[in-house]
Amino acid sequence: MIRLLLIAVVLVATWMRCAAVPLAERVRLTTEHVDLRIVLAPEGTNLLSLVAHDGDRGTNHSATNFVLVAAESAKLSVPDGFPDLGPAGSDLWVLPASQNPALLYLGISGEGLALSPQRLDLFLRRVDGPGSCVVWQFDGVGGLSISLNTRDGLTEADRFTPAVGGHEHHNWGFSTNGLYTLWFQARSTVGGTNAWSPEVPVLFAVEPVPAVVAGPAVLATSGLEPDGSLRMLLSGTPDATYTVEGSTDLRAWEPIRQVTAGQTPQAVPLPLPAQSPPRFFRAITP
Amino acid sequence: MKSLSLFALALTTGLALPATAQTFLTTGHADIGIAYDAGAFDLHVHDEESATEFSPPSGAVLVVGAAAQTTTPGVLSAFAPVGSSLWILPKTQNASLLFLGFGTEELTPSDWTGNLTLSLKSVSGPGNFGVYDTGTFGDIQIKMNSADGIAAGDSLTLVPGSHGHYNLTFTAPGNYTIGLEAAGTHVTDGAVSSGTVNYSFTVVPEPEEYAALAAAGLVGFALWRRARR
Repeated sequence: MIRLLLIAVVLVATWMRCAAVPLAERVRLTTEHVDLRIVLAPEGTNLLSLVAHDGDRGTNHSATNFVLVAAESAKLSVPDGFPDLGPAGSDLWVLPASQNPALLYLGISGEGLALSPQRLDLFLRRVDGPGSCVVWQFDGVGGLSISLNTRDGLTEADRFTPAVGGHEHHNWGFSTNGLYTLWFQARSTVGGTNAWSPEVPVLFAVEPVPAVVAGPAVLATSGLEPDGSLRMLLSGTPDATYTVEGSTDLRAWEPIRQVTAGQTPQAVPLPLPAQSPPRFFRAITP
Repeated sequence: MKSLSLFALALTTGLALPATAQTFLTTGHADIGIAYDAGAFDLHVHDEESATEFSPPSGAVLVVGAAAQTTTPGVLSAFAPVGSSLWILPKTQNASLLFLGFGTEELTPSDWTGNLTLSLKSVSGPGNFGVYDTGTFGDIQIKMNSADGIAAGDSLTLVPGSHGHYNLTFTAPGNYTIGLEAAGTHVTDGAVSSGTVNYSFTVVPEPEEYAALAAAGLVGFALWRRARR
């Protein structure tokens, strides 16, 4: 077992308010009927946002709190004659437009809106992941219609236009297993005026997800908590778990807590006993 | 707006509306819903747009609008001769057509062993009726087809607690009565079936045929008026 000794760097870090939730703490949506639903609030600063609506349970998850899972059984092989989907015979994990009880049934929804826009668009802005992503439907007579495709780059054409008050299902294909973050931006058009949502990251886990290889982490102090404990920030490989240890002599180390790194630094409160001699902290991989 | 034209047609043709007037569902999302209450199936129509439930389902007329009309392509030759007219109510939403799904969301999945079967039992109307799905790579999966007779295989497999969409086909304009039967294995009640439950569909012809029909209807109306005198 490799142990990485990591150096605690003391610096004043900017407090990151919206740390991404680590994979292990997210709600795994695996076989449910889930819609990515555009939310249009009648007032407020974020006029538009995107949530996952779990139609089976009637609950909404904010975009940072869930992971959409494509199970290993979603893996298919691209048939001949569909170059837009991939080379013939290549792997493609597909969440299908027709419900398969063993897989996530993922839709796009413009339902339940507080306002009635003339039009809704949901643009794919970028994809962080190990492979390509393509989303398509077949019409009733077998015609292929592609909504999103990273294989030929992303443009304004890579979007959904869900019916206002409606919902739709597509085939979602991923060329390689691993974690993908799809950044979506919603646009509503009301009375000829466009409103834009922030870019919302939606996480997909295309299984099996390779184990995260933890790289070096950095611990930085960021002030004191109200109760007097030390607030440190841990930056490391997203979704890798580190153990934070403390010592007074740099020889004997005791584990304090485990922290899973996110996309942004994770806050780590560390108790500072009264009358404590100087203490050192380090973050190591298990 | 939604049902105006069909009511107008009904009036101009002098058709007597039944005592409990039927509601025409022309656009938006509606489901053929399957519920199970007190030991019995309840097959109904659920109009998602108005949150209205029609039980028995004959209280709603499911309208297949003129925009559904297409020419039968080779891949759908099982339903109608290639090149002939075919009306398709599609599984992907088209704002000018009814978006008809099949919903078992009112069922508790743990109450059921395995899936439900929704079988085609009868088709009464001017043409044939069919249901198919389009697979991940565009393959046509025929679920029901009255063109080759109605047999046990003319059925949909539905997961309790779910909701799905398929393509529905009709080969001629006019009124149809489609008989469907739900069956499944309930954990306490055992094997249960709904018996045949009738659903009403109206397939609207192309505008020119529609105009011709309306004209014929006006003649019928005039004759009807005269007969009453």
